[in-house]
Amino acid sequence: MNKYLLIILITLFVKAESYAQSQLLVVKKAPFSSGTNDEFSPVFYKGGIVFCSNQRDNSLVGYKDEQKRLFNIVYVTKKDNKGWKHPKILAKEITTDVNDGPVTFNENGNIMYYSRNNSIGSFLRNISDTANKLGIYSAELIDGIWTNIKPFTYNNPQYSFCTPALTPDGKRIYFSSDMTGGRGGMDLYYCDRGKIDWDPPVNLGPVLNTPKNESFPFAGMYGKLFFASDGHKGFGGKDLFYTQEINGEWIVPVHMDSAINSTADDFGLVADSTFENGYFSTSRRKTDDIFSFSSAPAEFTNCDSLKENNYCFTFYDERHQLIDTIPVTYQWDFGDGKKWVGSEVKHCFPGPGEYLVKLSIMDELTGKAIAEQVEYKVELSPIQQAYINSYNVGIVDTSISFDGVKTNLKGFGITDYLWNFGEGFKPGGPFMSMAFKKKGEYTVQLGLLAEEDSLGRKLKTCIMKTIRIYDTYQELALKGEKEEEEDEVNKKTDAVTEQNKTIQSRIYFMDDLSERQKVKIKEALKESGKLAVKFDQYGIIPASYPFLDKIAGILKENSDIRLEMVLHAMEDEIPGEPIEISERWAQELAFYLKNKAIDTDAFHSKGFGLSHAVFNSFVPDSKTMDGIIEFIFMKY
Amino acid sequence: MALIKYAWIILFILRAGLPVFSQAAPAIDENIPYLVTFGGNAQTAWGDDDFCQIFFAVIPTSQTDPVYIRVYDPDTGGDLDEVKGEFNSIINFSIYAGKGCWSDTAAQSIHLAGNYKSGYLLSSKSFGADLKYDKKWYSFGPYNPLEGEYVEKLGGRVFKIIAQGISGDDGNIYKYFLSTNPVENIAVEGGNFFTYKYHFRLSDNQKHVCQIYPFVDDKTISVEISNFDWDNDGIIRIFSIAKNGILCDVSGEDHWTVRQFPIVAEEKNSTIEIQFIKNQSIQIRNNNVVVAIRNQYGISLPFYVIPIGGVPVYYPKIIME
Repeated sequence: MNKYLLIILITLFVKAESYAQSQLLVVKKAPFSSGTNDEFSPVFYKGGIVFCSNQRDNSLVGYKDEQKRLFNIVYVTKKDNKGWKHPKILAKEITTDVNDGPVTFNENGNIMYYSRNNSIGSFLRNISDTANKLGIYSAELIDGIWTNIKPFTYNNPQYSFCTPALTPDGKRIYFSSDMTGGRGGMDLYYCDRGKIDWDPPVNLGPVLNTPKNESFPFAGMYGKLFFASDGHKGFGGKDLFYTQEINGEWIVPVHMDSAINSTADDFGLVADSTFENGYFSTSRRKTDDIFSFSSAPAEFTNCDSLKENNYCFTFYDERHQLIDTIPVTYQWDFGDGKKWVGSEVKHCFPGPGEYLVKLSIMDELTGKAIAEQVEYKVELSPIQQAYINSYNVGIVDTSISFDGVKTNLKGFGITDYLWNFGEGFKPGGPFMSMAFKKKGEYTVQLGLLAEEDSLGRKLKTCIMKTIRIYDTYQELALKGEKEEEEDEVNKKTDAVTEQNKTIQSRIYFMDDLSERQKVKIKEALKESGKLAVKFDQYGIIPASYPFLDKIAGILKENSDIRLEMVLHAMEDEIPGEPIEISERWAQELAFYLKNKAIDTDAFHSKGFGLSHAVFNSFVPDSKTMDGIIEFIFMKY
Repeated sequence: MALIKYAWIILFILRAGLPVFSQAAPAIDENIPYLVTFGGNAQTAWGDDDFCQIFFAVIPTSQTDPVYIRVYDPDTGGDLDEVKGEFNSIINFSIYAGKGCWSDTAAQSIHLAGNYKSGYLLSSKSFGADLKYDKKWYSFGPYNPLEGEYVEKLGGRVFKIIAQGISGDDGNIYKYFLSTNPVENIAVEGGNFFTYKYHFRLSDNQKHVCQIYPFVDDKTISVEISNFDWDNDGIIRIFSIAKNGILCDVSGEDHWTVRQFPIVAEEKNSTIEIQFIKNQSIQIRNNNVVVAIRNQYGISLPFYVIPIGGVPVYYPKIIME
């Protein structure tokens, strides 16, 4: 019932100090924090800081009784030269005779949500009146006056609703409440912005909420959510944690740095967009104080180059000697529904997993089995590495998406994504986008931090890949021949088998190719005619070989040309997930070229599922094709 | 120590499947119809390089009752044997036992030199054309198994049977059985026959595939397979755990052909199979052939009629790259 008040009051108690400074973080009491009164829950606002305080001077409402000092929302700004001005009440029009704050603002700073006691009559000022629950209220700044004060739709006088926190885009609000239906104590909830009002509250679930108290949320960039809890394992009292929603799941809350958390109460954190600087509240020095923190930039050295997973292999019997050996038939069953015949076969598995390959060898002379169902266990797993998923090529000022969610690192619970797009590592989320301003080759790095291990070491790793940015590109126009051939291909597809999938090709030249190189490619492909690649359940079908052989020929004969192949699969009519299908196709293509003795550095292929094409000139059309492949030629 | 040294061969015998019964030579699984020995005046071009066949019978130490070495159709006459003009051949069968019967190196040589009749003679009988023995079994024995030369690594006591052409030029076609009974073929449990130079008659049936089983010991790093007078009767190939039908060079009329093959680690201490597939386009009848196998030191390797460790099964080495 009065749990929230206890949260505030508990910060008044003296706690043992814990000053273990992290190597990464420097924390110190903020100059505007009095050290004698209680201040907490800072937020950024128009170049200054807004926070809750029970400090008073002549400008504040004076309470004679020191035991009954209530909290107001105050605002402090920087002096022109150095230091901070004296904190002042943020706005008298929202100041009540009871507890006000904490507060959160929208991006423009003209809407605020704050918590306060629901009943605001001065006769209710008694701090011990636990019947006067907290509610969330909003106000709008119009002509310099905070007005239009409204209660939050879901306020309930039976329960507390407090510590609101808007996401940077303002589409979600987090708050804490002890309403029924939670896990006990104060739980964290959120409401998404509906068309008219906020949607009903959603409990953040058992990964975050405990039977004790979770409160003081702060919604940072990239979906990072900071909060205070005395229910998760920490140093004692309330500790600060953060989490992040990745693929619809909240990661297990990460206990924040030992410099921020102490054996006292640590709560009410705010950070800038880099998460390198900010403030938090702590009771480590008798009273509640606001401390600042700043972190040294994370350092990652010796980043590994990103490697693509490979599930395509050549199988053969090392003991089989072609010369001097009587005719035998090798029959391979790859355990994924596919069977091949041949003493040396090439096979692409659909993806990671365990496969039982069975080989039978039939004696063509006697018709008997020389070997029957000899088993070979294949275990395929993705490479253990951080992974940057993105196109490798792009255009100046055009946004490229990057994500790190395909990272595969066993036992490495990711707590932080740090990205380096050429200006050093900066905190970010699993999904990022970047528009490069100048043509050139960029090394993009993804650094990952994990929870501390049992020895207290913060694990980290990093990966890098190269992105080429061009000013312009040119699509190879062979429209007459192309359309005609595509029609023919589609006809054949229908006639042969419904399993055949036609992947239409687009040929692009990047602007670093010389005219001579472009002509060479163009002439070579003209000879081929067919610009489509077809797959069936076994992989690339032979009808596509002439076209791919031309591609291989171009790379083989022109060591100064490099090829990027980007595949997109349509969702309809193809069993499996588009991303997996396109990745499998990409591997088949890479495997084909590799088996044509093409230097593997001369090409790269990758599937992107339903993604739009690299060059947004079109989107795959499921009515006429099963996918597209972009052949992007560039200078080596 | 010696017991440990030779434990593998005993183990393989046990692995071959207990009880091991059918001690015919040739064995049923070999699919070889008969052994062959020509008279001493025959031409080698007829498929016998030296008119002498030496077999050894191994009797496990557990066998204490008398044993018999039985010969089917020991005479040289009648429908079965290969006549050259008129039957005029004498073939002698001798049974040897005792110390040196096997261990004398001359006994293990594929060349008839030195004391290949080592050990002591237990029995000897010569057969000409005699209807009394035509297509019938003749039993040598009874023999006390303890009379055989005890050879630890062979897991028993060894008797030697030499069939030697004395005179004439006809081919004696016959086979052996190691029995516990003088009048019928009752196998000696755990017994086996082996030879270092296999003289045999191929089936006339083109569909028949026959095979013999040399045992490769752990000292072997290569083998030299020799065949004599194959007469272009199809192909000879080798199977083992690591060989899936590697072709042997084949001999023509009246000469030896030799080819060397490497032995890989997995083949050591195992049986390999030499397979004979008859010419599928031309039917060659009454083809007699001689086969021998030696290691890199020139030491002969034994052909067991019951393959030690069982018939070798090729096991491909699957590579994924």
